[in-house]
Amino acid sequence: MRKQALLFTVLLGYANVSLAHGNVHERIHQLDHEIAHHPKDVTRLIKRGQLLLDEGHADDALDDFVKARKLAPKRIEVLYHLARAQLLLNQQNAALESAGKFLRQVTNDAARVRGHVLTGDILSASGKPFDAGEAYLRAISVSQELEPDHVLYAANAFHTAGNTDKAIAVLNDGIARLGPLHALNERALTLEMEQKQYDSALRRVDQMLATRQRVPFLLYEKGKILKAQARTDESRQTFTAALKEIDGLPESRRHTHVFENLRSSVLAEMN
Amino acid sequence: MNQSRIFRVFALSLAVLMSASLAEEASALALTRGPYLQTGTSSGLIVRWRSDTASDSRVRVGTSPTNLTLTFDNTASTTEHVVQVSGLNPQTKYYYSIGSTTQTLSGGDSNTHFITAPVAGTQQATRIWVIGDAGTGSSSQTAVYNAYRNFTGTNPTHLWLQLGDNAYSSGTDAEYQSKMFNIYPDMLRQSVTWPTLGNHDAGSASSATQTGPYYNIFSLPKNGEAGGVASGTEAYYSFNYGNIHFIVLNSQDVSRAVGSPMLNWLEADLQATNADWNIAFWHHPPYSKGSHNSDTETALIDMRQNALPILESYGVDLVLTGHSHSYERSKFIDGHYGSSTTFSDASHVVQAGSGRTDGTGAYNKSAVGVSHAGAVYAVAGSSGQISGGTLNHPAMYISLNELGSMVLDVNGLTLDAKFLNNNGTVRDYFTMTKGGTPPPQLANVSGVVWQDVDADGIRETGESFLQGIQVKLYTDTNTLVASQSTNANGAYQFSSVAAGNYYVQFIPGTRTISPQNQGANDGIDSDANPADGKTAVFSAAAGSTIANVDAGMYTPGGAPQTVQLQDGLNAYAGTQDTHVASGKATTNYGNATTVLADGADGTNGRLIGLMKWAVSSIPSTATVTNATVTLRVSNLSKGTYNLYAVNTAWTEGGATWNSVNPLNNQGVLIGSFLPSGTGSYTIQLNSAGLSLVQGWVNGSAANNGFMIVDGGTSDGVDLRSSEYGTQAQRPKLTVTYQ
Repeated sequence: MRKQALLFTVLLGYANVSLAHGNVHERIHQLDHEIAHHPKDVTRLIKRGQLLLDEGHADDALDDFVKARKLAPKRIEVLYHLARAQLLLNQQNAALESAGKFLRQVTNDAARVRGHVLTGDILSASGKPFDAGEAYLRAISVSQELEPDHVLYAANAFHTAGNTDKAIAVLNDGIARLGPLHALNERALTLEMEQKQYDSALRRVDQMLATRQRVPFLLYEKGKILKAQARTDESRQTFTAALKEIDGLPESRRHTHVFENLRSSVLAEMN
Repeated sequence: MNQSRIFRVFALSLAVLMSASLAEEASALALTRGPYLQTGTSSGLIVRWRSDTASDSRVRVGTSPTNLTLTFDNTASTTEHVVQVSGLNPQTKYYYSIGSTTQTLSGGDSNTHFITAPVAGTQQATRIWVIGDAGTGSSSQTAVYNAYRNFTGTNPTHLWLQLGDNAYSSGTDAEYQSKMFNIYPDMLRQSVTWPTLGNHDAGSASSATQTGPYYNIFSLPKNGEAGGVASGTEAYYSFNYGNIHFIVLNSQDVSRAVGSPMLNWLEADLQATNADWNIAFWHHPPYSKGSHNSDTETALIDMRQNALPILESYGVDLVLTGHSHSYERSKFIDGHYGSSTTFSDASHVVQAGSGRTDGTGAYNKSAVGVSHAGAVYAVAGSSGQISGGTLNHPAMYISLNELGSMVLDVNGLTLDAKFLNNNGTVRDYFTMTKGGTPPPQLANVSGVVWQDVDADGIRETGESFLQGIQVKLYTDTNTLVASQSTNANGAYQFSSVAAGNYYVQFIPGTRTISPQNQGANDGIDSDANPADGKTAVFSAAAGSTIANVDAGMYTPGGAPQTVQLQDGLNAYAGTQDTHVASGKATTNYGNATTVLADGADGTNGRLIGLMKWAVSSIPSTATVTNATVTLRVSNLSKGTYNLYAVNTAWTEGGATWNSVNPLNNQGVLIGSFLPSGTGSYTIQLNSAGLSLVQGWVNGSAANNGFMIVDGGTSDGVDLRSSEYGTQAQRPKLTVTYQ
């Protein structure tokens, strides 16, 4: 299984291999010349297609992947690239079909993860955020090494679909697997505030504060939660604590525009 | 490495173990990779290695190589050993060994050690080695490594950064073995390495699934284990070392968009740090006109437009990248996120000049952590190959199509950066400081000492430089400021001295100083008074460089003599020559009538020639003033061939690729030649070559001869050996000495 995953990674990433042998555009030009002499060389077609795709020339990339697919129908990685090109060209139905074929044929979890994430991207672009969220969840479920990016993609899709509770649940599940990552907690905090789930937001920000990282920023967030709960005194105390944290910074840091902006925001909330 | 990956590795190892024969199970373990060090902190690190068969893991640690009192075990039976070492003291040198609970595989010696990191936030002198796009497995990669090893000497490398494309061409496990582990064994054993993913590494690895050799080989701190905000992924992460915060981004295969998880994490991470220095690195350069163009390539544009505004708003100091196989170092800039045509010094340069303390002065920030106060962007992607390009990005202060690596020295609120090329020459340098008051502009005093063969006080062509001559710098009130010895090029340099009036004194030893101020050209005359070795007082103004403060020396009464060492000539029989072949790594060619050098021989792999001559006929007290090597080419394709000192002992009858390990024992470059056809070629040895021959003569250097190495191409050359029938065509070393 591991060897299969490695082989698949090599196949998917192979087109990148040439990137460092000169400017991308020169490399594409070089491949044009090579393909003119070897028009049935599938590897070169895939290579050029991916370079074109990465540089935003999806229509030309699509041509290469279609040709490669015809020449080598058993090379299933072409389906993945094809779906990416179709997605960029707003051919969502075709992209979904290609991604589906790809997912039906792959045999290892790493490839499945990529296939499900791509499916999620296609469904998001198709205006089907709930289905997209489910696709991202399938990626998460087969991931042996869970990526925080995929958790955020899923949560954002469910939020877009109007199912914010599910989005928060996805984030919490991600935190349970990955640990209390600020990137996931920040997103959950935003959604909880949006849902007026102030108690859970307060618990979350206190947990984040326990790490002693980004303290003034988190105190500002906590003050806003308390203010939303009409706990005015506690809110002011928390904002004051945020200001004290800022004042405790070395003078040079205190006067950076990042902390000047934070101070302004805190003061605005207090007034 | 998290639990699931450990499980996969364990499962694979278990399968290997189960399929092994009983005889194999009974055999002793052998080390096949490492040891190497990961995720270093002030209290510990991870030690990793690979063995040929599965076993449990044990690391023994102590403050003396013979007294390893601390034991760290991992009971899982595996060939991929990952042992967390913890509970150590900060900034302490520890020795260690690795193995199983029943067998020591390696270490427990003076070469196997590491230094723990300082406590985060403390200011300690820190040396950092930076390589990019290094993993070619070529002699270029080895030369860059050797140049750094020679440069740093016994000074420890506290950590080293790999800027991606660590193993060409697709980052497979085998490529990592041959192009990283086999190239940098001592560095890996002694210093923690921190990598980022390059496009070639991504050929076999995926950040979306955290799979592939890159992710299997490296154990990176995704949970904030080494400081910083946890990223939750090994694709991008951060860590602290003393007063430096390092941010490692992935420009290859995760989203680089505004609002992406990586950039959101980046902002959170920057909000959380209070370090004096913020250094970020990733693979794709935001500014480059080397083998890649930052105006047209998506990844480069994304990083410039999306990551740089965040980094600069939190006061990033230095950004290191690779991808272009060149060295490109920016001016001290801020706020440039467009194409190169939109760059203007007036809008984007924060502080003009070189950043050199002996030039226009160091780049200075008023304090730590100031937003948009300027940063230097360096492309250091020439640690394994060079690929040219227009190299004309207007943001760059200097752009070089040269092999090399970067050396960073951080000491308190001063950061010194250098670009060290493959020959050991510092080709660029700059300093950055913090704290409001820029350091004073300083002066630089330099010169050379040469062997003045004809004692006329004029340095003529062919007169060699003298190494090891003591040179002292005094103020005009006779206060000793500094003292140093001349290097292999006969050069000395007093850098960063305060502006003032000085004189230099040369200490000639048994030699005599040549007549002072002869002729009209100060660039080639001798400036010292023969009576006391002192120059006249000169004024060194702030920011000035006082060069050509030189001295010639000669040995009284010694007329130059020349000796030709060639088998069969005057009954000489002291030549040893052969070649070694990577494709036949255990074969000896000592009896061959040819010595071969070839980048890629179809049958025998890479071929490297070896030659040495007994020099006992030259008095050990002699001063070598010139040396040449004459070789007879009998067949060739094309290309340049380089002569390097050999750093290990060998014999004509015993040398093999495995025993000489030439790519890891390649010393300084001593000469080169470009044969255009068959015939004899006389190669003039350079100053390093003369120093080498001098060392053979006086016994200060082991006489391991030199190796003949292709210039990094597949070209080959056949040379007559000392066994060849026609005496006049055998290799010849000609030495002139006094």
